Order: sequence, then structure tokens, then C-alpha cells
Amino acid sequence: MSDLLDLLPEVFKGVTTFFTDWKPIVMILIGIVLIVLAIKKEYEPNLLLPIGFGAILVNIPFSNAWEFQTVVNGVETVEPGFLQILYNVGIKTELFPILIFIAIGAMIDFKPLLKNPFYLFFGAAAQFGIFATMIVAIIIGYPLNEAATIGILGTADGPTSIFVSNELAPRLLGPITVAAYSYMALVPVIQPPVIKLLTTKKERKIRMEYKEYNVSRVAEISFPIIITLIAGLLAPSSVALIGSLMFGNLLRVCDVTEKLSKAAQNELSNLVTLVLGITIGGTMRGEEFLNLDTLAIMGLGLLAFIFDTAGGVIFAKILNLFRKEKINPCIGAAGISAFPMSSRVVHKLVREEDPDNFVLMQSVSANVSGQIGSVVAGSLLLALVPLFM
Amino acid sequence: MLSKLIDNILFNALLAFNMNTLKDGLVIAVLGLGGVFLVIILLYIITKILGSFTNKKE
Repeated sequence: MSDLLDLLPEVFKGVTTFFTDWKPIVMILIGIVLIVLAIKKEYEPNLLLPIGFGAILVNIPFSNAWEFQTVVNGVETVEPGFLQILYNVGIKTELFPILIFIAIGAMIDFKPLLKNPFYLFFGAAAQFGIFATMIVAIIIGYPLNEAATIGILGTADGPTSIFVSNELAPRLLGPITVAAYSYMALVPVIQPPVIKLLTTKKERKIRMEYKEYNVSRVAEISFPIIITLIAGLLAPSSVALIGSLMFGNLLRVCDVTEKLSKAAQNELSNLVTLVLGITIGGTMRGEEFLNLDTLAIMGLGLLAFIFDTAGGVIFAKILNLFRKEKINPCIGAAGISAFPMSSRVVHKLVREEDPDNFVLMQSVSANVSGQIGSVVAGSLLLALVPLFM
Repeated sequence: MLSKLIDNILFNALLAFNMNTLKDGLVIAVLGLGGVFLVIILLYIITKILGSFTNKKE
């Protein structure tokens, strides 16, 4: 009987330990909040739900989801759990972000951009947030590699953020990923006030003529190949990211690999998103996640989105000083990578001022170029930061 | 509680701030943003050329 009583604490050690440390409890609550946001508010549910559940799995005391102890020949060893195995295979090797990029490439239609290449420039201007946030992070006291990793939140691009974070500052991967996807879901909340602050009612009412051109099949097929070559030659570290994005797009536009294109858009995208989400959730262990860094990263991530939006809008306003045909400066805000959310937000905002003003195609063009701009910016950071360390 | 936290962050920032890192950061920012624009300008030219061969105004 007394043996049984001695055994009880060991059997229920999970329950008895649970209430001795507040961090796992907070993390489990965060996981539940993410799941609620995913289900109730439909904020990026495909990512936030697996991330939330992954966070719960690894914060249960003595959980074997991340790692577990085992005794081999009387020696205690720590073995990786299924989430750590997924992490080592898919994130440490950067395989998951690359596969996601193939899927995204197969989903993107670059035609609006080919019809109006001018909007490419907004995809560059809206990357301002990356570099401005990096400077703020340095001023706060982060070392260069970590500041650049925090700045990358300004790409508004989950896979690029994961890729760069993994290369430059793996310890920040968990909070960076959560911040990237949370703020992407919050684009409709973050962007409108910034745009309104920087533009007048008159500017938001500017109507723009949309000149549509036919895009030949040759141009459509050449585009992903040429982009890969140019970006790769100028910034070799961009080959993995931009190459996989453009490979996915080539599958889509060439018309002879329909099955592969559909597989990339559906099966590949869904499967990798699922394992990526739950693996990222697995990195959110209380003892590593709950610290000042996470708080600072969440704050700086918000700043990065604000700077991005401001960069795009101000760039459009500067262009207007020299142009006869004025641009609606709200279009500049769509130059971030959050596709298609940002273009919808801009279109809605413009129509609030003038219901007959249609700027959706222009916003989509700027938004698609934001995808290219963010990958190029991320690759340049990967190339530049090691040179200064 | 919040003001203590902010004080803590600012104090840590003051301790960790390094002027050389800031200079490096500014150089990276200029090269990085300039580089993005350079790549985009090249892509713009290429896209224009691609378009000029075969595109017709609708």
C-alpha cells in the first residue's frame, strides 16, 4: 500500500508539476487564444490553428512531443520527439519554407504585373519597413544579425521570415514566426489608419486609368525564368527563395504540367502548411518563448508593418510630385507581400471615399510585386549581414 | 509594472547599444534598399522589353 502511495506522485507528476511553473500555463493559454482567433475570427486559420495546438503540445509537463527521456542500457538519454524531428527535417534545413514558396508560386498570377510593370516599384518601396525596423532594433540594443531578423518581419512574408530567421538568428524563430503570421492576419486593422494618417481625402479619391495590355504566352513563360536568372545573378543567395517561387509559377503558366501545378497549389501547400504550423508551435516552449525578446519582437513587428505601409504611401506621393497622371497614394501601401489581403484593404479604403473608384487591379499589381520585392530584400539581407559580422 | 518593464527595456538598450553596429546597420539599410530598387529596375526593364515585343494595347 505504501509503495502504491509512493508511486502516485511519479504517476501523476505531470499534474503536480503543472502548477509549479507559470510559463507553460501561459503558453497553453496563448495556444488556446491562437486557436480561438483561427476558428472564431478566421485569422489565418490554416496556420494559427496548428501553431496554437503545437504550443499546447510542447507545454504540457513531461510531454514527449518535443523531446523525451529514455533509458538505454541503464544510461538516460534525451531523444527527439515528433515535433523536433519535423523541426530538424523541415525548418533547420529550410525545406518547408522552400516548399511553401513552390506552392505560392503556383498560386500567383503575375499577369496583372506584366500588364503594368510600373507597379513593380511599389514592391520595392514598401520594403522600407524592413530596414527602418532593423535600425530601431539596433538602437534598442540587438546585435546586427538579430536586428536584421526582426527587420525581416517587414517583408510581411511568413516563409521569407522563417528562412532568414533560421539563417541569421535561429533562437528568434518562434516569436518571429508568430509575429509574422499574426500581423499578416491583422493587415486590415494595421494599414487603414496609417494610410489615412498620411493621405488627404482628396488624395484617396484620385482615380487612375487602368491601361490593360494583352500578355503573350511567351512573355508569361519567360517571366519566371528571367526573374530567377536576374535575381540569382545579382544576389546568389536569393536563388533558393526566388527560384522556388518562380519554379512554382512556371508550373502554372506553362500549361503542360497542370497536374503538378494543381498538386503544388493544393496537396503540397496544404500538407506543408500543416506540418510547418504545428512545428512552429513546437518551438513555442514557455521557458524559451516568454521573455522580453518576444515582447520586443511583437512590438517591432507592428512597427515594421507601419513603416512598410508608410514607405509605400510616401513613395507614391513623391512620384506624384513629378507625374502628370497622379497615382492614388493608397496603392503604395499594397506593395507589401501580404497577398491578396493588402490589395483588398486598399481597394476597400479607396471605395469608402468614392464608391465608384476602382483601383483593385492596380493594387493587385503592386501587391504581387511585393511578393518579389520581399524575397529580393530577404535575400539581400542574407548576403549583406554576414559581411558585417 | 508596465513602466518598470519599459524602464528595464530602455536600460538594457542603453547597455547594449553600440555605435559601430548602428553604422553597419545604416550601411546595410542603404545597400539593401538600394539593392532592392536596383533589382526591381532591372526587372522593370526586362518586363517592358518582354511586353514591347508581343503585347498589344487592348
